[in-house]
Amino acid sequence: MTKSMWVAVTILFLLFTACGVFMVLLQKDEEEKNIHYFLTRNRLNTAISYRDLSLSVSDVAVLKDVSVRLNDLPGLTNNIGEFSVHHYKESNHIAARLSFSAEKVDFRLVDIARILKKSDENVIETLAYFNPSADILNYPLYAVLLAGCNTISADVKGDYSYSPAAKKMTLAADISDNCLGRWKISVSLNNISNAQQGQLILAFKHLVQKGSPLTDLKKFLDGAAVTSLSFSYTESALVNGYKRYIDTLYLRQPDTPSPAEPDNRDIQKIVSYLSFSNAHRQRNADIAQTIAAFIKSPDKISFQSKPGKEVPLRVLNGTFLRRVVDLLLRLDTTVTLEKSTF
Amino acid sequence: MNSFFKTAALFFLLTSEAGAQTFDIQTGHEMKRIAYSAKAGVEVFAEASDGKWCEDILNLKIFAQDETAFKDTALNPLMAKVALVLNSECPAALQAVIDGYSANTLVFQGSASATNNWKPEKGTLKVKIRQLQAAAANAAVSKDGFPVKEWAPPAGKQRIVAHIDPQTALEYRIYSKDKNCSILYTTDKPADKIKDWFIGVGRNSCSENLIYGRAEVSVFNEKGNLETTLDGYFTEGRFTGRKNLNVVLLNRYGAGKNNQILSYLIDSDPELRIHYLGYLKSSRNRRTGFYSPWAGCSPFTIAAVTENEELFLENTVTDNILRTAESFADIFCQGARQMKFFATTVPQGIPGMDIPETVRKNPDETVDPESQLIYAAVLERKPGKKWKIVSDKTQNLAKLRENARRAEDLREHQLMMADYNELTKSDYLGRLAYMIGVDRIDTLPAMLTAAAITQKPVRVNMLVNVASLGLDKAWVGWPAEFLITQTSGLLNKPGWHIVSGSLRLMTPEERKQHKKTDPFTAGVLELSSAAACEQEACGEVADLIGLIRRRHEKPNWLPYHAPYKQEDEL
Repeated sequence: MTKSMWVAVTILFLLFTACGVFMVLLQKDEEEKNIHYFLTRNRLNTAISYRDLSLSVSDVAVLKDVSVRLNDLPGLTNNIGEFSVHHYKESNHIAARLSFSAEKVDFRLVDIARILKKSDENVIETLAYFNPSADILNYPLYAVLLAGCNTISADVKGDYSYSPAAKKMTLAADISDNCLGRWKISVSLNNISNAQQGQLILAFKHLVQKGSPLTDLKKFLDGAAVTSLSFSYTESALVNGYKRYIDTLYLRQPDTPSPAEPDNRDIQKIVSYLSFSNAHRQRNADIAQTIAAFIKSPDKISFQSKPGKEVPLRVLNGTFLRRVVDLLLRLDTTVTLEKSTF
Repeated sequence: MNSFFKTAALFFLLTSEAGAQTFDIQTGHEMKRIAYSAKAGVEVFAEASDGKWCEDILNLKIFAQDETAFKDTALNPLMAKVALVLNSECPAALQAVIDGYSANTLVFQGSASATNNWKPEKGTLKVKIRQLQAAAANAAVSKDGFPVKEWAPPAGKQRIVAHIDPQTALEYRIYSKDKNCSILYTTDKPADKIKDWFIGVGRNSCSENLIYGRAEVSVFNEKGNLETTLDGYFTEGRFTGRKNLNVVLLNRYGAGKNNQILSYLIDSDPELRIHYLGYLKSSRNRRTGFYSPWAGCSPFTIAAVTENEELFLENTVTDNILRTAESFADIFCQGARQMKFFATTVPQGIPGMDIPETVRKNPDETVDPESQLIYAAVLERKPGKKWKIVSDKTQNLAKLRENARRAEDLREHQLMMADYNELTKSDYLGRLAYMIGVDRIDTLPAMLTAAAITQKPVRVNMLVNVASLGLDKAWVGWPAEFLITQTSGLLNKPGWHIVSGSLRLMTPEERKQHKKTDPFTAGVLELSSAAACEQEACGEVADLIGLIRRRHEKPNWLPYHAPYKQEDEL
């Protein structure tokens, strides 16, 4: 290659590079405008802010250092290191597919407790007389704090897909944190109308806008049926931390059994509870034994519903826990313990 | 003669006849014959106690065939012979109380003393006084005596000397011109004038420089003018008006200048641990300025001074004590129509008893007279009739206090039962909280979480096992490793304790200094109190009954359970 050829190649390379950079800048600007338009159109621009936007080769927009002002938790300090939307697809102006991930979702639980507290006396009273079994559902935030988890830095992945014609929706979430452990849930719902899908979107909107996400979720699930459910929890420090708290509460001495670990009597209680509306005593006993084994030696526990089962949510009654248990049993869910790699 | 001894023997065997005063020997007492005269048909016995008859005050029993033996002409020579025996066999004897019997009947009461060459003196009152002196002296010297609120009749075997309160008793001794005779005179005139006063005495001879018995005394003031004339009876120089009161004085004091009081000992009952006291009063006439003669029979006021409050919880015992008081009224104030009876723990200072009702308690005094009063009653009788209690004036404070005490006991028992029932349902921490009297026992994670949420120190009570002690600080090993500060004087040994104080989160600097990474175990307790456990982890709370007993300071308490009622019994 001659010298002039080298010069021509270099000039061309520089031209292409300049064009590439210019195109990326144009695309980024366009993306920023799109995001800004999206946030403004949905009136989210006052609740969500971010420091930077980057574009990857795969055209995935990555928001950096995102901060969200939650409607029910004003003033909560939080930061999402990176928020990416991997897939987004609409069908007849209805969101049909969404896949996103968030890395390093940082906040402190004690800040949430501080915002939600009624009075100092109420906090002290509630914690002083905290019932380690009944109050897990009454005061779940305090339960997590008592387990020793406070500073959260979680990675979150979410998937959403909806088929308006088939009225089917699938939701999946994968959350992992060094203290809270890894939570994976996937649920398929049937009989979801467009209006109900809209309620789900509203529920998310009402996290940052005035409104009640819980009411929205109730409306969203009204008339729905669960066709598939899988859930797994992988222990990091949460269960062991809570056990440690119970040991302290019941003055556990070294080399003595932990009062937090279910004994035969407790297992029998769980079996009785599970058998409330289900006749499969042996299966229920197995589930109770599995849960007891998990509490004794926490690692990974998975719940998987049986294919082909469908449970309309309206048939479930009682407390939240009762409904969840009933749902699992009606879906003929199997519970298994696994070795984790978390 | 044989018939006499048969009579004497029969005397010991026969029971009393109706209406006759018969010889009564207390349990454990025996008789020692010290003299006899076959010619006169007389035997003299000395009462012995535990085989010992020779005492400073003797109780002599004279048994005679007929009453003429107790006439002065027969008794004086007899006692002269008895004196010879006493001088040789019992030189310690100083006084004797004499009871004379004839045909099993007490026909003579008198006394004699060594100072008077054992010359017998007749008279039941004199005898009674001697007996009282003997009883009081015995009570005072007995090993286990029975002082009441640190008070007892003055000791002294010969005679009880009255105590005069110089602060409140307005009394002066006024002498005759020749200084041979004197009276104890009550007046509120100034002492520097009284010292020049004198008396003139008619119809009386003085004894020990004081006028006794019937006398007519003229009192002259410092100018030689007649101040007043005292015509009547005197007791140890004190004017008692028309009443011949011969009593053993105890105290003389005043309740203000208008009321002067004089207490005297009536009897001491070692068995029931009661001292019976009577009171004489002299009041100042506001118009004339003179004090009335000492009077104690209208009404007759008697106090049973005792700490044995339980006596008045039983009606039969109270009735017996009242009967005793009635008999004293007959001895000292025969013919009295009204009697005020008091049972108290103190010999003086009770409104209505010795001091007037209107005299209120001194605010500086810490003792409430009501608390010293046990029982009060007014008794009245009509001529020839028995004493009757005026029911609406009876106060049985012993019973009231006992009822209140029982009610309080019942209430406390109910409280303890409530505690017991509550604690049977309570967990370990609940029992620990009960043990030290706090609402709850806290756990470290919960309270550190509370401190983190509220961003303030939290007041806590916690069970901890102190691992090591430092200078004004300590490190806890259980439930987690955390720091206790301000331990000086509160924590002095490692081990299990229940500690109270203010719990806060460690500052970032403290966490770095002490290498504490977990914020919810990185706490600092500023100690305010600490109680050491007796057993590991305060295991003593497992003994529920012991726990309640300690808390209520009732070491003998036991829970009771209501009888179980069967459904088919309904």
